[in-house]
Amino acid sequence: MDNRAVAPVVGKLLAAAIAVLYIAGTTSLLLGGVVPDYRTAAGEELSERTLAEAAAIVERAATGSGSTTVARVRTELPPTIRDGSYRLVLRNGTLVLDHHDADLDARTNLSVPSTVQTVESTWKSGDTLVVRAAEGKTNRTVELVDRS
Amino acid sequence: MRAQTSLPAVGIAFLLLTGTLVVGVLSAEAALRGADRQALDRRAAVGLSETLVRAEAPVTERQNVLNESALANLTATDLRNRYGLPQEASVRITLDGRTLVTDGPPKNGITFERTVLLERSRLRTLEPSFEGTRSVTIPRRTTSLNLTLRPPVNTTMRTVRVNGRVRLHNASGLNGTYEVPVTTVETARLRFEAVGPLSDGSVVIRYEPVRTEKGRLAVTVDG
Repeated sequence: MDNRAVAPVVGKLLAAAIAVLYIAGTTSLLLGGVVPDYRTAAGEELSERTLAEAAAIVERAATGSGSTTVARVRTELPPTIRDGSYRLVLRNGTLVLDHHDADLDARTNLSVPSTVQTVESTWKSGDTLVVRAAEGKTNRTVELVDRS
Repeated sequence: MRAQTSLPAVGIAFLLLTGTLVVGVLSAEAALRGADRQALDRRAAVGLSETLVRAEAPVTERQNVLNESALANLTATDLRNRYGLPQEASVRITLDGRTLVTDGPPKNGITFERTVLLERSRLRTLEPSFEGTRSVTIPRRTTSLNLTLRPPVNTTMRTVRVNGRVRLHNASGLNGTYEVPVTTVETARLRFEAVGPLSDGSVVIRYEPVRTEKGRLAVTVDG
């Protein structure tokens, strides 16, 4: 009967061990699966909205008043999406959001008049987005201005 | 096992914690789903509808005025190749609830509606009976009149006047089909000056009046 006093200690230790296991399990479940998924889902939504906003700005610059020779339209876009920087690529009438996480990539077709020509250009996040539209001899050109 | 009474308590506590966790995760899921605004579908729908009503689009007469017959010939392939619809997106375009183009068909997607004008022209024919008058008023304004003059053999039709101005004249007699441009600024009143009787069928006037009506163009895109 020497080990009778051990019983409460064992009980406490058992409870503590179960608590530690439980917390470790839920933490790894949340941080390993649920939270990254949610961050990606939120990031996807944010990248879609960012791209939609950027495309709206490009279209505004493209269809802007014909009297101005050179127009610059600027807007603030999120510097990072899901803690990562991204690029906007304007190419051949489409605007592409390029993120190092391929799940967050998005693309959209621009609705610009046929007289507007898109100049292949890239903008990197972290700066103000500036879209430059210039009136040429025959058509209007739009491009993203990269100031870095 | 006398001292192990705390274990059931720990189990119940964990059960409650797990329940809270599940409720939290589910509500986060619902919040994320509720935040989905389909921004790109909206953009595609707005962009497509804007391109459709643009002045240089093949289906418009001028800005925001659609040509109904050109609209009826619109296909999903045209939308993808010429109007900037993404290749993989499904689309439906309706005009006043009538489906013009459908491809997919879209399950949910974003619908963008805009009020447009529809232009229709229909060929009309007018055959004046010349009872007691030699004037005819064209009931609707148009840009051009097509006159077919077939006066009876013993009648010489010399002049056709539109609102008092001489538009066709031949001293030896007009006979045949003539195109007479008129203005839409004033109502055209034609006067036929002829020596001899004129009757039903001596003159046939064809014209194509343009009618514009309001319509609701709804563009649904599901990417």
